[in-house]
Amino acid sequence: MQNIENQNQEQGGVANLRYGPYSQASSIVGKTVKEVREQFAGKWGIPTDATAYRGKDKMDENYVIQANDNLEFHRRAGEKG
Amino acid sequence: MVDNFAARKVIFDAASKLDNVDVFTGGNDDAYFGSVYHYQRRNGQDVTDHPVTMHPEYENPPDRNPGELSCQERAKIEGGTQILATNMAVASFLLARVQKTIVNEEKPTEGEIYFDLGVGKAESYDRSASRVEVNA
Repeated sequence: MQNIENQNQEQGGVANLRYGPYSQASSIVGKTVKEVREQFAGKWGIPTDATAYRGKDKMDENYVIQANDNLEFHRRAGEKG
Repeated sequence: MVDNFAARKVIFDAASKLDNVDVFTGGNDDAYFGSVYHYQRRNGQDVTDHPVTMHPEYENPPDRNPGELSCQERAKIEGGTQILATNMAVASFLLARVQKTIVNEEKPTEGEIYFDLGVGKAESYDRSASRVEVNA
């Protein structure tokens, strides 16, 4: 974990993270999709099985976030009409 | 009006075979969360993506179309509850989408909108079929 944090500081970039109504530019560059999900799970309530997308592309759990990435975790649509 | 993913998928799939169509769908949970989606086609092409592109719950619906259920199965469905404010917010977002994209003929660049009245947040997403993800 320490290495990843150092890597973030060295790269100095941010990525845009979104989940449902939440959106935030975050210092998550260098972290994997799995790590980011775990980091924001409590804050935003992201489910453990939420798929991550960059654009229309599904991202692998081990994908390492790059600077300026736009990462979106799938939020199930509202169902009741 | 439909209130489950399976039935909505039938409508979206049927719309995907039409040249020009607008499908506005909205839903909420039993608390403060809700979302709306605008699926638009013009001249035989998707202007916004079919919702299944970003929503696997439409591809593999966790529920069943009520029309496919037996009377006994339908009787067992729980009515559930929902908050009036959240339901009205969904309706307001949908009406605003109709006003902007149909009445005012503006582009549906906010193809999907999520909101949570509990925390006072809303976020729109560009679901344009032609959008290009730029990493720069």
